[in-house]
Amino acid sequence: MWSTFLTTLRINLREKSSLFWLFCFPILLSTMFLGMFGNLSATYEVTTMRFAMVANGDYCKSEGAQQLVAAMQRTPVTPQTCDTAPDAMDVDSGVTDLRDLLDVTPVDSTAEATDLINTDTDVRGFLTVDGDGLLHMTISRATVSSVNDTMSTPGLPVSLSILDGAIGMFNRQALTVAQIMTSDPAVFTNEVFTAAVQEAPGFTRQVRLTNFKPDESARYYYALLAMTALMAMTFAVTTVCSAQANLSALGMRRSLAPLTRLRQLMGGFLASWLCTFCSLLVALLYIHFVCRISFGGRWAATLLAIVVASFASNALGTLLGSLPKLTAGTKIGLTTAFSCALSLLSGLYGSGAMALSDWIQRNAPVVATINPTQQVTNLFYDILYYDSYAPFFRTVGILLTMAVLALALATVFLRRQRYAHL
Amino acid sequence: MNTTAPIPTSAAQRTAQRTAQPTPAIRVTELVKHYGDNLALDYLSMEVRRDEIYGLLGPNGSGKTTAINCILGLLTYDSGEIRIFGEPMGPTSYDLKRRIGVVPQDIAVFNELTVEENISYFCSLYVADRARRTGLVDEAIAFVGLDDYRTYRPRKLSGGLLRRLNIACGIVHKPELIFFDEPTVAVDPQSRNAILEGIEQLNAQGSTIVYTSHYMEEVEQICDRIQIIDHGRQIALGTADELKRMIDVGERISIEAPSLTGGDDTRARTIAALRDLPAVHDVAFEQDTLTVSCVQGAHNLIDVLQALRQADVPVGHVSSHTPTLNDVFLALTGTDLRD
Repeated sequence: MWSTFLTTLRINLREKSSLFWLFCFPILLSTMFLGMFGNLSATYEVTTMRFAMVANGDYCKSEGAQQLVAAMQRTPVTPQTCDTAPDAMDVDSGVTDLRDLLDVTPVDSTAEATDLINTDTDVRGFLTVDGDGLLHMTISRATVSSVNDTMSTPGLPVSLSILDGAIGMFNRQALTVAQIMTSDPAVFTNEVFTAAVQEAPGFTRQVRLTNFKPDESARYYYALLAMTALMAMTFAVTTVCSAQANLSALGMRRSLAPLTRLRQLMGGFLASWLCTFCSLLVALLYIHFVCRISFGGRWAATLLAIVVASFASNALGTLLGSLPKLTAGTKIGLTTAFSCALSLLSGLYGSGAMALSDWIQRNAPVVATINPTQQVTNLFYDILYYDSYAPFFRTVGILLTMAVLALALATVFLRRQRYAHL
Repeated sequence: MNTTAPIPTSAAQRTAQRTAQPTPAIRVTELVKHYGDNLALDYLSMEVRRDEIYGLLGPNGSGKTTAINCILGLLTYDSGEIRIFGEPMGPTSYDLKRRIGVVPQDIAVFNELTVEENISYFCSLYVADRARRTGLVDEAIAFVGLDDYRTYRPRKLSGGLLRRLNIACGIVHKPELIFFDEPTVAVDPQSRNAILEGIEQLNAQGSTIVYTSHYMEEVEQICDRIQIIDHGRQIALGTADELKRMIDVGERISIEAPSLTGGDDTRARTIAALRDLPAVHDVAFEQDTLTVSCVQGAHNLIDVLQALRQADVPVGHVSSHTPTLNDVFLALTGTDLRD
């Protein structure tokens, strides 16, 4: 059994097409995903924008504007023209830190700011305060043209939008307060009223319901891992076919050896399992360290996931390899066809496939349950999103049940040692 | 193959030695095997004595490989009994399997492994001890002359070298009984000779050989006894000489006689004169050649040439052939072995 294990290992690792499909292909596809989805999360991330601040007399007089601008900088800059540095506003940043929004360069006049944004394309625009203490934002032509280029400046649109929103809110509050001061200043003696005026309006607030911050693109990578696991059925299919006398001359020669078929198949199975595990491990490490896809920091569970996924894949491959009345070539073809078709149902091929996968989960949960690619995808999903390990172990249980059933059925087919035809 | 070791005994001596041994290497009794409605083996019996080279000769589809696969426990059969070294043979007869080597008709090696790794792997299926295995692998590589190709993968080997590798994988564990199933198919003459010499050498070293082929020359060259089968049935069994004695033809004489092509009367007279000779069995004229079939005799050629001289028939090229196994097959079945 040991020599069969070593030989199968050697054969698997020297088989160029297997090496490509199981080690290189997932990396190539991950790299492609990285190119496609790499900017997806960056699009929603705050990027620090360089802005000029016209620090003239109006700005120095508007304590509120100073506080707001200071609140949006990591290191607030106090213009020399202003005597005092304002206290930064207390911003409840939550997960998104608004202090990363601005990198301010104080200038003395609007003309100087205009010159700056025309000459230095890194400066996105400038802020001014008018005589009424209201903030205004001007953005450069270069920024206007690069706003739509999400590849080179993925976070710029959302950052500009946040800045615009903050300025708008500030101005509305300032105008409201000024209007009330004019019409009914006595109302400011009412503490309830002043507290209500100062209170920030309830915009959308980011809350975390899952174990880890959701990542839109992670599902694609998980589905890719599932496809890799299923493609690795080839290892087991080849191993079983090369041990069956009715499928190859090699199988015939091996059947004549004084070694039980169980021991030969066991050696081959273990080697194929190890190869599948390695293939998944390589893909997983690439996905994590290069594509920056998280597995929630739960490495023990992640390793267990690929152990289980590779075991289930090889059990299914053993079943496929043992099916009677099919040639070895047909079985290899079926392996590829199953992997590709089942990956469609687990959402690998884009947003349409993801929608289909979600639809199946909602409307035909049995189909999702018996789809091994869906279950392998779920393994990683469970690790990332759930606080409890219960969903993960439930998925492990489903995959192990599939594996045991597949092996039991394969045993029935493989028990036959003599054939009517060769 | 490495043929430096001398072959110590003649076929006749070996045959004499074997008669003393009680248990045959293989005894097959009335084996019947159907493929659906087709009868593949028709009460085929066979007894292979220890240390002999036993030839199984028959045209393609005659049932040779089916018989071998049944004997090896790979194929089911409808009835009959198979014993190897006196023991019933089945798929789980591991003790018997350990004593058997098989060189299948198709190349059965791993393309991803080198020559040495392939031989070593197949040896490991029979021999657990690693140290002993190393020695056996070296011996097998030397035996088939693949020393210079140890690190080559099968794809890099020529057809002849691949056949040698296939043989090495089957004999590496030094089996007592070796099946060679058409090992020279698609092999160049030089490699074929090397393979045949290697088989004789293995036999000289004590292995019993079962050799199947549809090449009668090979079977005649190396086999002690030959069983001719067709349609799953035994047609004849014996040594090559015994088989040839089963038919009337002892010598076939071919004579170029272009002058007989034109005159029908002369041709008829000449053929009649030849047929009158006591040793002549049959006479045929095709294109410009007379073929005279004679019974075994010392002066057949002289008598035939004398008859032609008396008939004033000028002769060109003359040749005399002893009968082949194909003649035997033709005489016994009415069809050619190569059909």
